[in-house]
Amino acid sequence: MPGTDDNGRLVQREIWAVGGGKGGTGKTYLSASLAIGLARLGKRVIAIDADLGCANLHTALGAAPPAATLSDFIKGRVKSLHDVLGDTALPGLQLISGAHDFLEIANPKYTEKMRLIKQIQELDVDYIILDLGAGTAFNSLDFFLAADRGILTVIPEPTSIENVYRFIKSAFYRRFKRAVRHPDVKALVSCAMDQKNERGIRTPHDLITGVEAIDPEVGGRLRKTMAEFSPKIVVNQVRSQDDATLGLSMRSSCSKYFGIQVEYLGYVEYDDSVWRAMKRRRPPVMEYPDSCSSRGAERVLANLLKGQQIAFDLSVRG
Amino acid sequence: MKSFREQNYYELLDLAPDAGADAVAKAYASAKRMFSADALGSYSLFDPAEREALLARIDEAWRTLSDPASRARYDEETLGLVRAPAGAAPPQPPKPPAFSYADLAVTDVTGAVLRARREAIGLPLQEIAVTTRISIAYLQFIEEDHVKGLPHDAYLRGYLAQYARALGLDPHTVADGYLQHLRTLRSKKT
Repeated sequence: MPGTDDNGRLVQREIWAVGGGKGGTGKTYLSASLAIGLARLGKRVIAIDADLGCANLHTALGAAPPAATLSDFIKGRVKSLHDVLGDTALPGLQLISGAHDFLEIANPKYTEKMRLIKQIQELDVDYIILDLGAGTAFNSLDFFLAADRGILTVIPEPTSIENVYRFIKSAFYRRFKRAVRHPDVKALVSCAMDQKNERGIRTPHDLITGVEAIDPEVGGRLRKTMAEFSPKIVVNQVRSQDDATLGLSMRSSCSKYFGIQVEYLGYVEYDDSVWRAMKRRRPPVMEYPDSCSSRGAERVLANLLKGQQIAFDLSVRG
Repeated sequence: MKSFREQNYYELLDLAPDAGADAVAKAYASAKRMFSADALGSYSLFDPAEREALLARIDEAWRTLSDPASRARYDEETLGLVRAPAGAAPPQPPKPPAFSYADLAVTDVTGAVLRARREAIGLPLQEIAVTTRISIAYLQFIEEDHVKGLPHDAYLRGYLAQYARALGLDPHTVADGYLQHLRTLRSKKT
């Protein structure tokens, strides 16, 4: 978030989180590509592996397993996040590696997590990229909601799409629940999170109508929360025009079903170069900067920086 | 925040209120595809009843927006938009095309229908052959439903899409419809 640092300089300090529900949809690939792209533009970047328990962002960035990790911070062995910062081959890009030693770290206590999020928000850099774990566990949701921009990767497969919708809905309800204090409203939100709830609430839209019946003022506030909630989608492993237009279709579906305005940032084409580079433990965007996939990742970054969506002419599909 | 039941016709079709007739037709074709029962992006969200309601709303939007008179009425009554400034002569509506991008259903597509469309706009087959670089023989085979002469479906799909674009038709509808039509023809023969 824009603000000033201790010396009064204006700092941008934007946090981007990359999540997406299903595993293997390119969260770590996109996180690494965005972090590298920003560093190449001369920004000061910290990439954080927030995939607690299943961390491997360091490998995607071509860095060695670091000596100190997030678990040292979470368990209080070091006082500051700065103590677990590691350098990468790229000037300007630093890495905080995820915990990959203790199972218990995968589920930190709420207070530990909040302390972590607070320190992340205070890091003195231009951009912080959070690589989230798979699934819709509270960990991923809380990091996603703490970010200035939440990005979801989806691949053109039913399981991935279903999970992204579930993630959007869960993130939204979690944000909702934190925004209200009224016990009746809290109860209603909890009830709505169960898809088969008896009160027939199936979409955020139904929920707001229900909340407005209890307390119109809270309902109005939630409506505002909802308008501000705008997750961004990147379609990965695109093999056809239809795959590329999936983002448009998901955007339209989200607005019609959830009433949530999703932004479609762009797509990354499927190509072998990603797999070839990963096998050598080299970042694909550095190893093959001219590949279709690298150019796709670059377009996504450009759209994020300009705050715009993909420009798409529907008539070219076919 | 609005669900599809409260969206106006333009929001429903993801259109700007000043969209031209061609954009409206394309948006309609695309919306029908996006919310069909097997569409990847939406199948998991809508149950059958909701989908039916949504598709009915999309059809309703198309009926209203595709007709200039009813669109003007809708704009004025529902959105409070008046297009032509008062006093000025209403602009002459452009000559309606012989057919529109979206009024062809998948089940309608046959070689004869495609030829009729092409002849209606007076586009010679040679011209399509030149612009698309598809052999004129294949184009003729398509129009004649000449099953034996046509290339493999994988190539044919691409040809059909290009041929459809040359005619100003929805490439998806034409390719899907024709291949479906071809399957019917083949099954009759065996």
